Amino acid sequence: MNASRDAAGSFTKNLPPLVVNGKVYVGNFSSQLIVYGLLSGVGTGPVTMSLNSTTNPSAYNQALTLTANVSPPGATGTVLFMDGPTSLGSATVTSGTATLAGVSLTAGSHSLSAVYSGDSIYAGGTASLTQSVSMAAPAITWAAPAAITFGGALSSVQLNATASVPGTFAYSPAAGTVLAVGNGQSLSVTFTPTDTMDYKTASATTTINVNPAPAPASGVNLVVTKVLSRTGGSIVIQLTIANTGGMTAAVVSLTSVKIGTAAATPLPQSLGAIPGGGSIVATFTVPGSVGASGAASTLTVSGSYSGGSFNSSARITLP
Amino acid sequence: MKRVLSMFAFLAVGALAARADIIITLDDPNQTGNPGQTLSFYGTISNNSTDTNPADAIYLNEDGVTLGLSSPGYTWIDDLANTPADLIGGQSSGDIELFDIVLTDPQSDPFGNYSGTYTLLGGADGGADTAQDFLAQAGFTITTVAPEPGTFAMLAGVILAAMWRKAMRHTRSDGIST
Repeated sequence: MNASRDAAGSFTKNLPPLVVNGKVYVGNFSSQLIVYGLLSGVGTGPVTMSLNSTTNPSAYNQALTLTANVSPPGATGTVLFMDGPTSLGSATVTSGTATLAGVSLTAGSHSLSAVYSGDSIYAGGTASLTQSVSMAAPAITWAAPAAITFGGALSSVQLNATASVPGTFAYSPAAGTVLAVGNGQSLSVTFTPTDTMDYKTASATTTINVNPAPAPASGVNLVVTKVLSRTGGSIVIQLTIANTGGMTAAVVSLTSVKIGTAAATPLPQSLGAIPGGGSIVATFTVPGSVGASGAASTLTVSGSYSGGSFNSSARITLP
Repeated sequence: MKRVLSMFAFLAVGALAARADIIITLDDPNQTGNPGQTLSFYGTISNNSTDTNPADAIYLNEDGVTLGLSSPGYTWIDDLANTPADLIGGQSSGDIELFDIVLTDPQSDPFGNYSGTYTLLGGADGGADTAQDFLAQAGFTITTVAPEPGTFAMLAGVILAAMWRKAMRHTRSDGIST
């Protein structure tokens, strides 16, 4: 229902529209009632109306059925259902009832109205209600991931929740985290839907078991995992060095970190001691000019500890 | 001279599987080398799973070595490029060169045997390279040796004796002709 004007003035809507003697008044223009429609051939018999919803309050995406009751029950004609100025549809009055099913409303408060057209005996009429629609909760699906071995880092293999609607996931602990050995460790996710008007944020939790790695022959095994991100023209490399052995690696130092042939800074970095079953995190940067986002490259890491040294090489895709 | 130097009977630490599906088998996990020598470690990476669905392939994204030899003592040459990007159940890499250890000459560490661990990371990432599950590890041992001083002395002695005999023959023949 749209109104237009051909002169300056102020306009206010009638919600719901006012029906008087077969005329539907949708608003006032400069204090003059505006006639939207003229219900022809209507009588003057008074009717009483009511408007009901199957569920109120309801949730977004929950289908509603609106029922307008027109009394006396002998009234015939149609009922126009409206959400504010927007038509939701119409239904024929049968035995004093007009029903509109399958109504879906966005989250929020809605001023619904039913406008009875009137018939040859009865004049038109209106009824209204305020329908409250709450935001819906997205459904999160996240199966407990298979057990992992200490030294590896959480990735999309474990952090793989899905939602019933589009949105983004924030995990805790985040991808790249190296969990200590232990069973039943908690993983959680907070989901933020793209449609924040109609959907609430949602969360879910699951658990994961982390098994010890096989004992290395040397007593120390330093395993390197990484998280890459691009920030402010630089590529940030977050390395986690985990000691899967049973002996402490003392005086651990990273001496070389490279993406391709580009050296990261700052180096060297002294990390101190990493006990068996422990891990430590170090952060480096490489100029973003090392490659475009999505380009394939390699990340090589070298370091030393008291009594030995370690090296790693990883296939990477630049962030 | 041909005597094998500094041979020790090491405990074979070939293949230790961390994740049941991926197995690393080194052809020769116990190697001996002199300073300056390159020790090449060949082996096979196998996915022993029965899941042959390509969507469930295990990606081999990262490898690494920890070795009880100080970093000046060697240079690690990674051969991750030799490994396939992924393996489905029942697949094997075949026998490939996994990594090399180039022993520095001269050695900064005492000659002896040093244990190391080769580790493989990856996982069922679904195509990207972000999976970093601990897949498997394999132990290996390096023995650094130098030619025994006695060997040098024996060699020098043989050479000197040969030179002396040659010189004596030459002197004797000179005497006959005069």
